[in-house]
Amino acid sequence: MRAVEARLVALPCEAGVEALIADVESAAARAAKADHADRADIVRFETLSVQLEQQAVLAWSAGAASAALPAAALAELPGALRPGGADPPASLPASVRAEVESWRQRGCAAVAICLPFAPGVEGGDRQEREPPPPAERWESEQGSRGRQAVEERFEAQLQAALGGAGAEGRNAISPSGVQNTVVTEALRRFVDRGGSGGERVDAPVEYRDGSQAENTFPLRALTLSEELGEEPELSLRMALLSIRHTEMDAVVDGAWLRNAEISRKRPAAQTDDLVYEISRAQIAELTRDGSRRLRLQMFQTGLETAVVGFYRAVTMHLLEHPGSLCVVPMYHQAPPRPKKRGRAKKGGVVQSRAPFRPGTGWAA
Amino acid sequence: MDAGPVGMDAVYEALGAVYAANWSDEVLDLLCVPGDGKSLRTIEEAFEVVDRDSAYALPPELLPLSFVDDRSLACVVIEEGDHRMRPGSILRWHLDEVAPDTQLRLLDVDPVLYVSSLAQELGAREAGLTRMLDEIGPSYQEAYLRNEKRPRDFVVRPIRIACQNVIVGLAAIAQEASFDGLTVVAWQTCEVPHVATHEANRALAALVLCDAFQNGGTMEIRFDRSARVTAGSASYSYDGHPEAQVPASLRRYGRTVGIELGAEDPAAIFPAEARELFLAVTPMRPGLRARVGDAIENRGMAPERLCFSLLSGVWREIELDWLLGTSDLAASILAGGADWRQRPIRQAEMEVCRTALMAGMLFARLDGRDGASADEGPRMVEDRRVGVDWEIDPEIGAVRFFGREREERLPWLAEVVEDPAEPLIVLPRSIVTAELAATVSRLAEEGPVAVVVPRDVPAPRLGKGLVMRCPDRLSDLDKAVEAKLLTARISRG
Repeated sequence: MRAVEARLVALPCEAGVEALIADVESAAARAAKADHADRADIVRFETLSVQLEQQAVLAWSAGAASAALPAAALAELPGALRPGGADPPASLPASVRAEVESWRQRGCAAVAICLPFAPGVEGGDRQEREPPPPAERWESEQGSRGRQAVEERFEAQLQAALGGAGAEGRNAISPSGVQNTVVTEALRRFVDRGGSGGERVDAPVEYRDGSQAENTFPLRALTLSEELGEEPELSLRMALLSIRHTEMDAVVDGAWLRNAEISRKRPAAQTDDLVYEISRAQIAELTRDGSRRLRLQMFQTGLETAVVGFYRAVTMHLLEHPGSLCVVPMYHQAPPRPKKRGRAKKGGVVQSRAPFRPGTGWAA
Repeated sequence: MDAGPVGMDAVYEALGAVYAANWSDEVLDLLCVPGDGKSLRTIEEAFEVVDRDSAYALPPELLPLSFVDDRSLACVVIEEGDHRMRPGSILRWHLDEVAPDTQLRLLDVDPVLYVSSLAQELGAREAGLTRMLDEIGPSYQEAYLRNEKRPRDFVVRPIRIACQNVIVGLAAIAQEASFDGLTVVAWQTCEVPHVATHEANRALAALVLCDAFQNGGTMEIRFDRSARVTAGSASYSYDGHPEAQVPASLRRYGRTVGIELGAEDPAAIFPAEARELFLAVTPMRPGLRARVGDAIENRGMAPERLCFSLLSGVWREIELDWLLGTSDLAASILAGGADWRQRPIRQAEMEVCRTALMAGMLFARLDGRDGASADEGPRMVEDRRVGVDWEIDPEIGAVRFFGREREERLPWLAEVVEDPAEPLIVLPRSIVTAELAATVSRLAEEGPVAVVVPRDVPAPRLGKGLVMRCPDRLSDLDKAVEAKLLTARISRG
């Protein structure tokens, strides 16, 4: 087994190098601001970084000054430290920091190179780890099948998340593959304190691709009602995602999220985080930071990351500004069979063969 | 699991039970019994067929038990022979000349289990075929293929495996959220003369397990759950697989690789069984299999991810062998790699991945015998492999290639260099350090050694070693690596 050798190399900041470092920094800044799924700036950053690192390797091979780094310093280390730039990270050993400072005073940049094929010992610093156990299978305790079983399974996850409060390695909830009606209604039941005396629990959300959302979901956090206490000052009917179900277009005022932004190839948790950030901003704007009462009828689609991200934003807003928001989920129903065409279920909305039924409102 | 009869008495007892039992007409159509029994075929007839049609004489340890297809027989081992001749085992005898490693492959471990599984399989075959060919297939064509729509994972999706225009496997699967696993409502396989024994079951199992992995569930696979297929005005409901349990042919394959499928629940493959099956159906050379075993047991890697990486083509065999053999970063790479903000770690991971790609490309070049530019008539694209083997050297971070065809000149070299002797030691790198140059000089004393670098990397100064240039530039390699890492990041879900 080969080892990873990391070192900082002093690279004289000639015109080309200085411009390259500036380009790397600019690309990094752009990539940091870009959407999670947009890799264009990341690719540019990496391409430029490779050019810089190749120059550093050449300089090192030609005898340029360098300082070896401990593996622990790698995580916080930027690609390059140029003269007059940010201070070296505190995790660097003092001797290395002093050396880097002296290079920078001489007009050199310190460029990190990380070589994975340095001489090493077979399994030298490798930590032995047990294989992960096979996934635990799930079986309905009540022998339910179909949708009821899905609901029972998701509620069991939520219950486990409540039960594991405060424990290390908390139980995450995993909404992947669960119908949006089940996700929405079950989350509402578990966000609602409902008179129980338990403490609020912030449950991690993990998707089936293994990604975990940066934001937890607050459970047992609010006392929910179905409607606002007073008449809303603004009422809107929104589709959760544009383009997904065009039959909704006739009944909504607009779309909450742009499909082109949301439905991109990226880890699921990043979509959840993105929807949460967008929704927080939009809710804050529409309620004028909680000073205006807003009633939203949300015509939903089945993208669970969007549903979870949106209702997390609703919950967080209600925690900060109770009484300023009511969201009524609207669930799509399968089109009626031909013989029943045009007949709506009582209480539902039918528009051009697009029936929806209201779910339980989220208000506090 | 049942390892089959032990001792010759047990074998004869098992054969007696087979000959005495009442079998369905479908089984009697294949079964070979002594004398004028109830079967349509006798052992004597089977021997006559072998004498008349077989390319080689049937080993004396074998007794014909049934016909597998028109050109092969299932035979019971009735005397101890070489390592394959375990008494009671059912081996397949091909009448035609076949590759030595495909002759005498294990069909089952016990005569009673084999014939019983045939009875179960053939008893449900008609219902299964009708389901696949008349209902699920046409419905899928109507609802998805015709509309160029991609089905969601919970939709019942048909799978068809064919080899040289012969269908050898059919299945229909759907992810089922109620137990967070995969439901299978159809599973039909068959043995045909030109396909290796159990290959249909192995390939179908590989596809189904990859789907289960991608769906992100527990990997439980059930054969008793109801499912509905709708297309236009037609609608079909199924209450699980026609056999209502793990299909007999799949259990038979499981026995041949030492896995008892449906052990805890006859209608389901539990996650632990799915894990064993995944490892069994994933083709790996012995060296890689050992390395994968080490990665699972000592480095905490999930077997499912390793198998999926290979079967889905995210990483090829030699590439995975390289990743696991040379770097402790393999676990992170297989999971999609470090975040781009952690540049130094990402830098190291990218170098490991680039070198894996270059090793894979060189292997494909050395092992390929593509006649695109040859003057030998129509271009053949099938089975043009040379049979090159490799060995990863973790100590120096190198690949040793064996079994190459001597060419007039080595590939990827600017100057004409006659192909040197074996083995060729190759060190793929995009960064050539002084330490590496010293290693190459030392190795060059013992035999041919080459450093492989991307096309646009400045020429390294080496003493005796060769410098081979990969046709791809550094940025091309990085692009390919990023595509692989992205696939790994989003493959489950």
